[in-house]
Amino acid sequence: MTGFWSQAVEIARKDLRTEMRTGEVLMVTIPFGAAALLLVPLAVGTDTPLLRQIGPGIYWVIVLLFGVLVALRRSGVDEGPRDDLLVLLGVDPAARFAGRAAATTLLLIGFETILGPVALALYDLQLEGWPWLIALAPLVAVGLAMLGTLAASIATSIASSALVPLLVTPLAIPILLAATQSMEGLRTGRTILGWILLLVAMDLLLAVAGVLSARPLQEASR
Amino acid sequence: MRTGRTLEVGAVTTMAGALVLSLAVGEEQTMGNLARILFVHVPAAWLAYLAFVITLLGSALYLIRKDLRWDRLAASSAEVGVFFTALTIALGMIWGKPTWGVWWTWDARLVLTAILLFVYLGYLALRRSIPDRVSRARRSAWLGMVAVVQIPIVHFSVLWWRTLHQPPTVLRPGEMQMDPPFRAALFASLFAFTVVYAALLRRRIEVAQLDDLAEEAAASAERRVAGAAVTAPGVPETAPPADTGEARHRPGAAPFLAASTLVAGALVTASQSSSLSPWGWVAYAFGATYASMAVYAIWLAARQCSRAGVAG
Amino acid sequence: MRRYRWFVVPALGVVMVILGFLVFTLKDALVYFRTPTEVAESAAEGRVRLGGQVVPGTIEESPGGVAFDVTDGTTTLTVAHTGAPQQLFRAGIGVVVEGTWDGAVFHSDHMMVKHDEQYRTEDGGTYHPGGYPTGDSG
Repeated sequence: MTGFWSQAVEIARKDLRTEMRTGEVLMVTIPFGAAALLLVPLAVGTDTPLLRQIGPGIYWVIVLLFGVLVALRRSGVDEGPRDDLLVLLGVDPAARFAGRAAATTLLLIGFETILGPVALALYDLQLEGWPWLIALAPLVAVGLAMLGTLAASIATSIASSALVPLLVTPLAIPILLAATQSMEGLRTGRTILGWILLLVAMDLLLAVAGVLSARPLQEASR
Repeated sequence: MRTGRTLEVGAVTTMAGALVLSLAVGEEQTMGNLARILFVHVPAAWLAYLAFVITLLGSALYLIRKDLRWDRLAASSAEVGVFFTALTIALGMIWGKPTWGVWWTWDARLVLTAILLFVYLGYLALRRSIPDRVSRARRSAWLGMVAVVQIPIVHFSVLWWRTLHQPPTVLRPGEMQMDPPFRAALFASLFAFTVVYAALLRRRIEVAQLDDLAEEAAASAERRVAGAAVTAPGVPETAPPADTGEARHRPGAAPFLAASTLVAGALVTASQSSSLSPWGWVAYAFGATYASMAVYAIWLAARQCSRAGVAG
Repeated sequence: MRRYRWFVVPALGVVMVILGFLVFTLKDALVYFRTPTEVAESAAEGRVRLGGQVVPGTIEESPGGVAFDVTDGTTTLTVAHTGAPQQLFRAGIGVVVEGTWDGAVFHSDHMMVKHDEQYRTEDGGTYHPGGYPTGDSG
């Protein structure tokens, strides 16, 4: 199995290198997300208690919706010749899934980290129990990354831009609920262990689904 | 074709019979005449479940047998299932407004049903986006098998969580909490809805067959054959109508859903005030059911005719 | 599949354990409404939904709304509702009201009537209020 991990790492590294070169996430998706965070108060009113109340929810919804765009970045989506090469080289399709999902996870963590302070500022959020966020954010990122990678490989690149978000959104609801309810729980001082465990369970399930479906999906498009 | 005609005639007669029974039942103790909406809302929900289970079967059988006919069954049943799910939600809203007092609420049953609708809309969208038949069949088969797991969750949601929606009356642990006259009308309606489902499914499969033929024709027309360099002498034929590619991208249920949402929305806004009497709400519910079924059936028939024209 | 068994089987095992654990812990985390007992005990702050059964004989209509008692079989709370009651509102029926609890009276501005799962003809059988609309039905 050593081949698996080194393959996955190589693919992740390649994906990240491409992202560094094109800068799509950094230069486009993150500003877009920030703009969306800006739009909401303009729409619902700048009443501070209201914004403080809806702020965490809005932040996580934007992470979800725009996170899908991160998973769909051109460098991450299946592209015929490049993937044919990987198949010819005998790369384990599950390793390709893992590598791609890992790269997306890192980019999503970056996305969350940069937009977090933006939301904090715009919505005047008070973060009680913020150490928990250090566990929460990566778990959400991993889940969304795997979900996005899985959905992107189910849809072909022809219709990805509209189709994948549609497929992802219902399945991402448990992740969204876990994230927002955790924030709510932290605010009211209740235990959020249940929600964290739900995220862990979702992430494990998605990992299993991704690994098991990698080869059938690869063969389906031949 | 004869089976299809029998099914359609059967659908109309059984629905008429179910309507008679629904009207013959006396008023319910608490809800009065509003309870009659039960006879369209519940069968619609059950048929949606049935349709998606058939999709599961079709998907599984396709993956095992690799016969595209199962894939056609799965996809057609999914589209009809989406229709019934949307109808269930619409009828639920029409029933909820006078009974609960709200069109919608965020309890587990309603939210999970909405998610069910969106997931299968995603299934239909997925199919529309993949031109290659085998790839499309394979991928949507996996989605169709996974998505069906929602059905028991939706059904048991009223028992597992606190909801505004009432617990099940028929499919429940323990005795059925329904007096015999209601039971008779409900099961008659269920039978009628099943015949409607069978009729719609059959039409939809026929449309799918024509779609596939049209696709094949277009594909083979594009393929350049060496022998085409030499044309045989013969009577010049009229060229077949240009294939705009529309045949390949079957519209699915989306335009239909869009149209019915618009119409329903218009009606909803028009009837905003609760000045509608209970019989008014019942008429609204039954009317919406019959109208949407008729529109869907007519639309399928129209597609069948136009496809037959192109492929023929 | 065989190749990944080392990962898939333990992963699914962990997922089962977690889900089993979650079924019990998360059941109360995301409630649609609270029972009178829960509202009284936890001194709920902010807007909450209260669900219970209207106690017969406690309905008092007033020009601006209606006042009534709501019970879950254990605790009874008084609700002061602003606005017209719903069509099906009556003694013995289940209601879900949205509003705030001030320690003594529940002030609600949004009412939904919860119909139970029974369908009875007018002459057939008496209407059993059955279980109070708590979360543990069935």
